Amino acid sequence: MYFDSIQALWSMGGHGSYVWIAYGVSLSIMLWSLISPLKAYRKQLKNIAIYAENESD
Amino acid sequence: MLVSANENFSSYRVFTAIFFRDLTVYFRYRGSWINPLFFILVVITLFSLGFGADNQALRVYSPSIIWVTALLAVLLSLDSLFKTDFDDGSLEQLILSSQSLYLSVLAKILAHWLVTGFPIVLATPLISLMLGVSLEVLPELSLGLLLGTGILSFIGAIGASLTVSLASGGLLLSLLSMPLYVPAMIFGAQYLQDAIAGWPLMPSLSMLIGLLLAAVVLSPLAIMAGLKLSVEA
Amino acid sequence: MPNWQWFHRLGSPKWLLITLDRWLPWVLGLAFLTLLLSLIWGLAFTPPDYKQGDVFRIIYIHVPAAVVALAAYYAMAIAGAIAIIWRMKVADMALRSIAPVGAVLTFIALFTGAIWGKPTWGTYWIWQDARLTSMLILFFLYLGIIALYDAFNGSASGQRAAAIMSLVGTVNIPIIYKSVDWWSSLHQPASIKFTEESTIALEMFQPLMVAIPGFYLFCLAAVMLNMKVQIARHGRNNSWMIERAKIDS
Repeated sequence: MYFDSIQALWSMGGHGSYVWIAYGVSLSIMLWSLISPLKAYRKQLKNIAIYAENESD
Repeated sequence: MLVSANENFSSYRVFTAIFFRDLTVYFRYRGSWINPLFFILVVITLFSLGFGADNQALRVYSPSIIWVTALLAVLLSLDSLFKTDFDDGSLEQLILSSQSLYLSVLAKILAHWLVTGFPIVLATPLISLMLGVSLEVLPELSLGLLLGTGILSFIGAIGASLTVSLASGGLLLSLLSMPLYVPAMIFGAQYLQDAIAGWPLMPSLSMLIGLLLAAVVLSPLAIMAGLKLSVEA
Repeated sequence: MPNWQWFHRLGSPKWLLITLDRWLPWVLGLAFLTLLLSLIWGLAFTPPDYKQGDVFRIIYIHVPAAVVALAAYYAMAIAGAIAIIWRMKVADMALRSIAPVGAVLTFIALFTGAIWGKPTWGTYWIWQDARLTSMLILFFLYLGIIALYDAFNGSASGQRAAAIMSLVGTVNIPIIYKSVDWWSSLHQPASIKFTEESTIALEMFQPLMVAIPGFYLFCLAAVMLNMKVQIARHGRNNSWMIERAKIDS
């Protein structure tokens, strides 16, 4: 590791807040853009199944 | 046979027929050419009041004020470019006809520009007076707006053709057109600024002419496709 | 004689859904691994920039996001062209699937660019930076295309409209970039110089070369997930889709 300690990694020579906010926000948005279609797909499947059940009754 | 009946219509005659028909329709309703003009004068008045009657600041920012207001005026008027023709079905006839749709589109945009963009060009002296721009650069300002409103009309017509079938396409039309307007806005405002400052005009002027030529040649292709899908919708 | 079977198969949503499901774990896993590797490498195992210090580490998100955002636009426009020329349903779905991912990546590039700007330029946003301004306009283009697609309530016309708009945007992007570039070179304040590329050290460059493929893989994974949603949405009346839905839920 380039940094001497975890504290040094965290503070990044005083620029820690910029770097960590940039990484944190970006990675959360990326994670969300993977999870939200997954949830939408599940919901879509469920709707299709419910609709098909109602049709067959 | 249908085709032979159409043979004696040359492309030129179709072009002029559509052009003058549209002009007649526009002139029957006075608002179609007065409203954009009225709009631009009101917005410039609001800008002037917003600047706190600071004539110096107004003169400095006049190129961008003129361009943004002209852009908005053209954009708001474009909503009506294909709307009535779409509603009464004549757009469908135009597409189905054996005549070149390219020329029909060109004629329609030209007629529309003549009643919306051109009055703005004619109002340049008034705009210059309101913003405190020296009347010496009037020819350059007018030329800039002449080329600029043309570019804005042709590019904006793409968005108009795509959204004409939507009930409330006005805002969407603006959203679609704004990013495409960036080059015209940059070179247009730069041209006005150069003219007011007395700098060499050729770089920005040649860019404006280039953008206009590209817009005139290329945008009808997208507009034709847009109109076809709108009619199918 | 080239084998075109794969191309025709692409036209079948059922086959596509099965293939997507087969490939997704691999793409997702690989994306996760490359991103993890490159970002930890970039965050902790590279020396800081001698001028900017540790802030430069934002580069490992900013540059890949910007590169992939632009590439995604062209991929979307190619999908649009295929949709217009061959009237392929799958291409329409691809267009709608790529657009939100591209918008997200563009937003990330803008966001990290602004944060990076604060300590290096002293302000979050500088209009004179041609790359950031072009990115902002790309963001508007993406949003416009998504809005246009959705305004038609998922009808075929909306798909065509979005495809045409994406092609119009393709013609415009180079013009927009060049004009913003020209404009910024005119208006650049003399005190700020950022067009001059500092030669980046090899040690700093290596994680970037891993992060860019990582972002490509992430983009691919997100697009594949969106594709599944689109396939389910368009195939909701097909018997095979209903069968599948009954089994899965």
